[in-house]
Amino acid sequence: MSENVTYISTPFGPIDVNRVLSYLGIAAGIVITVIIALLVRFGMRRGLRPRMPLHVYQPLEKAVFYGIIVLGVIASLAPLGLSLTGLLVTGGILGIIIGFAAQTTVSNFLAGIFLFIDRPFRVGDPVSIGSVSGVVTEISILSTKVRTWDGYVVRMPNQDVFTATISNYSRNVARRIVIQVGIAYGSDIAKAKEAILKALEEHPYVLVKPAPDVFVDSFGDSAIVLNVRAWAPNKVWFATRMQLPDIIKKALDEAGIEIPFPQLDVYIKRMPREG
Amino acid sequence: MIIEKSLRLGDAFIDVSEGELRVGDRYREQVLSIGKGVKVEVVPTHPVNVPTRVATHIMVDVDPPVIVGREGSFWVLVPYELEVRVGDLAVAYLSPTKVKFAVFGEVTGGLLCRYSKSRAFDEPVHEAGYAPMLVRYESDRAAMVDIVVVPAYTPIYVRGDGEYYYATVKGRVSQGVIAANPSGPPPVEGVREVRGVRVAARIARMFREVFSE
Repeated sequence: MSENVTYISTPFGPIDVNRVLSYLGIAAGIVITVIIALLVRFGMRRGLRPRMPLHVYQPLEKAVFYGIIVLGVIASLAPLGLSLTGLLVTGGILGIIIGFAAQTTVSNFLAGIFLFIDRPFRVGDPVSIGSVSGVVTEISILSTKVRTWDGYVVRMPNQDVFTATISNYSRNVARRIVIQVGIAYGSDIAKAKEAILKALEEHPYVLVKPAPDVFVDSFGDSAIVLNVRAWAPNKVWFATRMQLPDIIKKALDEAGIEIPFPQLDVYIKRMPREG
Repeated sequence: MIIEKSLRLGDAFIDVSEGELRVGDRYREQVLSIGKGVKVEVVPTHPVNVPTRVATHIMVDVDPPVIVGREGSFWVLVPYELEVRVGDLAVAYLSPTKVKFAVFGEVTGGLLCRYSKSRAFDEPVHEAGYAPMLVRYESDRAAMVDIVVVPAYTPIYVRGDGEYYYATVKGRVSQGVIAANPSGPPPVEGVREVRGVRVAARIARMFREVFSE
């Protein structure tokens, strides 16, 4: 064994050349690792950062950067007898343990990444996520915050968001408004339709295309039920929805069409007295 | 155009009296206090501000439809709005005409347009609240056109003190529709472009960004 050892004499005493070379190899390995990690980070910042939200990009960059450093340093320390395989196995076991312990967090994190890839909504979009409806105020890597129509802020774990049914109301340029109006059985249906359509025509936000329509939906207990359908720009849908019932009522009043209230005719039959 | 006393155009009105500016159209009325000696100006602007800014394009329903050949042009009337401004500050937008909107394409992924109806004309005509727009087209074959869609921010030109024109637009005919974009020189000679507050502010900002460090 001693035959393979080469010594050089120095003023400080003999030095093992092989050991020096292995130390130099380790140092070179670490330097190369750091350079590779920096290059990868540079590439990510140039290529990936502009295309990803910051809250998704930053943890990803850190994971990749430190992952390369850790693996590179461990691989570089191999000449000292540090086994990468052993460390990887240990790391794997540790990973499984941490994985089980942080299952929900990891699940939310992964769901956050999938939400970023799928992009079902953006900040500011009016949405319904499961039973929660409102405007998306924040999308972070672990959770999504929605301000409900009542003004509450609801924080939803990304795992729940990803698996929930999502309706995004901002993806359409227009939304339909449906209003049911009952008119008296004695009313002129054609006249009622004409009055409603004329009123809708006067409203700026009731779209010309797709055109509004009015039709008899059903024959109710006390009224002929008309179905009024109109499309409005998405941004002003709610305001238009609020205004239309008043406008329709006014139009029907002006046309002399009665909107009946529920009525029940009671017929009293007199029975002849027995005996 | 500086408003000394009052202006009425279609449904829009602007009244300037001592210390008060009253503006309105069929959708709203507004009263503002103004300082002594403040000059109120009105310029035509793109028809996308009244009642609120929701549209990105203008759709002209050509009625009756026009039959076109392989290449040519026709005029249509397109609405404009009035921008009431004091210096660089836009204080109100008014629509001299009735406002309607329409979707071009599907409600998912389509374009929300300010809707207007017009005949096709051989020569430019002028109507209160409307400016003529020259539509140049190309087509593979003779076709019937009933819709013209143009960007809402198509430039507006003025000749003299109040003869307004939209920029010439050009597009191909496809399935009865000309989806056109501003192209080429102004439609008539002797016109200059009208710049609204927003356009002027955008240009000023652009210059600031380019020449700042």
